[in-house]
Amino acid sequence: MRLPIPKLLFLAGLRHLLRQRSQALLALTGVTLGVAVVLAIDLANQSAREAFADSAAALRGTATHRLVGATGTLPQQLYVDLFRQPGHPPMAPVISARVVLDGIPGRPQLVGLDLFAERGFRTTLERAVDTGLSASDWLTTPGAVVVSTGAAARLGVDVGGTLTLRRRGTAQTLQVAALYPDHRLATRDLLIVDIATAQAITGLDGRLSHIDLILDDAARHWFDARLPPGVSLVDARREIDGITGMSAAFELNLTAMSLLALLVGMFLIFNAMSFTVVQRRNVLGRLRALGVTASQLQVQVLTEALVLALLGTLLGALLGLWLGQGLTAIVASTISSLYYEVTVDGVHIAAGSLVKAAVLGTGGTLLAVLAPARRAAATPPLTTLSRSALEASAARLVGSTAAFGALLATGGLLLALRVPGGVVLGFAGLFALLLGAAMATPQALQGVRRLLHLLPLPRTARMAVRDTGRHLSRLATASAALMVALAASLGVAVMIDSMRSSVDAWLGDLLAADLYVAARDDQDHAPLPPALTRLAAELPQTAAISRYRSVHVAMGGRPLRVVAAELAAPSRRGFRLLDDDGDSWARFDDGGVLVSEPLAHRTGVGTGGTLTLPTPDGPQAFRVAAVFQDYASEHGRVFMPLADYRRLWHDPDVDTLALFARAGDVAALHAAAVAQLSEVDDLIITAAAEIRTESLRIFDRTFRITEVLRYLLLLVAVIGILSALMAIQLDRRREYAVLRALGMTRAQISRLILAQSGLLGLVAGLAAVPTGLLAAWVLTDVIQLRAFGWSMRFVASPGPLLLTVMLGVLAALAAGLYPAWRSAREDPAPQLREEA
Amino acid sequence: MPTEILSSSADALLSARGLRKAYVSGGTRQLVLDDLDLDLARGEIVAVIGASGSGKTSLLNLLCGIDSPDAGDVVIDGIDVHARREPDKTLFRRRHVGFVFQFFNLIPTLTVRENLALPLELLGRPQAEIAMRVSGLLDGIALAHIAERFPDTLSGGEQQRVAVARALAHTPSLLLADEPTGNLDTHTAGNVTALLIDMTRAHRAAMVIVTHSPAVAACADRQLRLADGRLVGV
Repeated sequence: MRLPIPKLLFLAGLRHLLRQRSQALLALTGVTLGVAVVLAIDLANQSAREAFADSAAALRGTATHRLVGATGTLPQQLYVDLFRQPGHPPMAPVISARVVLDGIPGRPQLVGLDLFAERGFRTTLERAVDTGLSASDWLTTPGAVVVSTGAAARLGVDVGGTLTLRRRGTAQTLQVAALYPDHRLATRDLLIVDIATAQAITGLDGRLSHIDLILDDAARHWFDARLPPGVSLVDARREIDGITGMSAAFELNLTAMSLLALLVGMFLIFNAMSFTVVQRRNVLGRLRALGVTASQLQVQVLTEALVLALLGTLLGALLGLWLGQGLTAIVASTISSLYYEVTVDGVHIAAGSLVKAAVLGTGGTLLAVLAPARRAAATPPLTTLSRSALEASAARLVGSTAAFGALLATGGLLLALRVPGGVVLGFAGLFALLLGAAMATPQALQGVRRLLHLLPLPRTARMAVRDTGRHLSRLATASAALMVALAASLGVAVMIDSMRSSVDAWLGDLLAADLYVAARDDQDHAPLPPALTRLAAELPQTAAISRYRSVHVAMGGRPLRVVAAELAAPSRRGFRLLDDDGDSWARFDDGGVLVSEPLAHRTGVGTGGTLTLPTPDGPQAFRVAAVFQDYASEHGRVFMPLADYRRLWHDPDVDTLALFARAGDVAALHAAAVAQLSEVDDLIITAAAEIRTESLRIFDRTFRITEVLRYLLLLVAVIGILSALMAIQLDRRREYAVLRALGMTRAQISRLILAQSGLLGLVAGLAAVPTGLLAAWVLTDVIQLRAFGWSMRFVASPGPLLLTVMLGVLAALAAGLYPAWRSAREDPAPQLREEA
Repeated sequence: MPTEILSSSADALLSARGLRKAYVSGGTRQLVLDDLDLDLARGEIVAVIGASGSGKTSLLNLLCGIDSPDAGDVVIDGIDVHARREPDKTLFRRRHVGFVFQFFNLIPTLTVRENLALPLELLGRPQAEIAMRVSGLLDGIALAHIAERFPDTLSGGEQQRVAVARALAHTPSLLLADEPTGNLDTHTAGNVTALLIDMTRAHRAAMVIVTHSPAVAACADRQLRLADGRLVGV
């Protein structure tokens, strides 16, 4: 390979890195961790998405389109009617539902198929027949199920084995009739049963989940004028994209966090390479005297960085793959609870993710090294610049850099808060804010240093303060890196706190009733027996009752929950209506709907506007009575009067009851409900407080991944400080030796280094507080609103602020321990003998 | 103008005219070189002596284009050094000038052999030619046995011998030596001086050698003293 510079120049630089192993290793760690975090998050996002797309594709088979109902199901008669018409395209009815099996974790997907309609769509049943499934047994044996060999291994069953499915307290047995050979992850979650069996299990008698179709362009028009209201034709592949696209904002949030880790990693590289340039200024000067050009020196530094970048990227990729395994499970669990059900069995290694990480790792490193490389190029021949002269020149730049940083931060803040746009623009503003604040950190360090000068500090502390000014060029970068990590961490912590507090308050208001009653069923929102509602209302302990019926409809490619409600007065008080003019409930009672804030944000339809919803009778326009604050779903919810729902959906059921205890005697109501209502059906009777606790538990689980990222970010920053202190320790070995020779004890040397380290941490922590609060403001007021449509109240309790400062000091002290120990135990004699 | 400082040789290599250089330090302007002239013939060795801070090193830096004069010009081999832009000055040094410094200034992360090869590699010479040339130089300074060692494992004398060989590796027409024995004991200084003079003459290079040592200065063809910013004959 031909190098862009003479081989010996490259060799000289490389050997310098090898000689300064600890520096090189720390720089390498910066790239490695940055790349690892970015890759791990990307792989986790990708794996969850791919796993879902694979299983959806496995289930879709060769179907190109799908008929779907506005309410989530279709009448089976529609299939029969279409099938009878001449010239119909290939069609296959499907039932699909998540179920719970005894002793099996997760919720496998039960799929009901019609053996005779399957030809051309899926080979699943055909392959099962090939491996010994008798068609007559399949159709006549109740509970016959076919699973892939992969699923059989996961479920621990074989042909003839049984699986127990529990519904409404009654156990139903599925018997494995045959296995078809398929070990793909996509099929490990599928239980294939006859369509009639699926209808019996799911309670969808006479209904279908959807009808699969194979259509070419001409056949698509066959359905024109043949579909009844409330039924639509959708592209099956686009439907999958639409579902996986739902989690895009969540994934973007994680990606942005991972990029922050890379940004901090870039600070480390900048720091380490700046140091190697300063450290070698004399050698670089000699090379210039020998005829090495400025551009050759620049290329030399960039080449060294490239070596570090490539090595760091490689190690980062390996670490990222390992880290990705753990993060994939956490991300998949969050996506399953918030967006779509997905089962992952490991990390999906996408070439695109690896390329992205490699480009970010090497590109980021080279970008970070541009400034040190230019500084190397500017080295005069036979430089006689002293360290103090260098530091003086660095100190002169502090003011102008801080001014530029302040401008950048202000620009970033304005970009995020004032310029309308998407999430990406919000994050761009956030990054500019953090970068700008980082550039202003050295000025903060100078300010604190000057302030400390005025205090009557012990001698060692005074030396540490003064020395910080003498080593500003490197300490400032390390301090800035720690500040960015702490600020990002604080910003995210305040955002989570704000959201948790908003959700908690919202739950407190919304869960106004004392008890909630729902059917114990593996299907969400299974209907309650009609007699139960009457019985509950007639309990002497019941003061009031609210009744709910919840269905999913699709709107703009997203699932939307329509909640029909007959609300008792206290339940109404639980709604936080935004811009309420006092007539909201009157409009609701008059056939209006309440629209959740995320839906209003996404569709732009507010109070007084019109929202068109798909109903079994076709699209219907509703007047928006009010917009209410809601954190239940980012996709949106619509509340409508129960009577209107029944009229339009032809559905008399309710699925949830909210009971209010007479005279506040919740215990008596609970006892009566358990004693009398449970006789009617298998029920879940839950107190509001329990639901609130469980909801907050789910909330915390959702943000676990964010917590993990926060800690990784801090780890990268601690390495930054360690790197800077090690660099200084190397540079000052002779100085420490002189101090030792003059009688300074090992403990005093250690204290000097630790005091300096603590000062860095203190400044980083203090600077991180305002920066983190501004970052939190952008995250809560801009990012969360744009990404999810959630407005929330800003909560900045003193705890996280104090913790940030403490964390800064502790992280810096921890990073200073090793350099302090190493400097103190070094023998001063060899240093004193060496050439200055 | 004292005629002694101008070479009488018709085969002139270097001509410096009216060099002036001042530095500002602590708000005070200090004139180091004042209307200084110097001529040097090919193959001629000139020793410049003078008190500390008299401007000897500044003179060397101006001669090779490392530093720029406030006034005056330097012509070497017919090339007006200071009329060139910075990158061209670098290329000029690479081809025409060799350096020997008081503190050796070898590249610490290159071996002895690699240090000698560096100037040749910078000139893009073929590897075979470089290898042959370096072997010859190593034999010339009698350090072939430590060719693969790094500078920090060598004695001061050995390091300076390597520095002398490196300065002449690319056969420059001008060698600038700044206190080449200032960091050596008397015995080693004698050996290094002999090597420096012999090798310079063998390579037919001209040399300006700045020194405090009368013994070193005595080896030169001419001795000049730098005082009050000007060169005068000794």
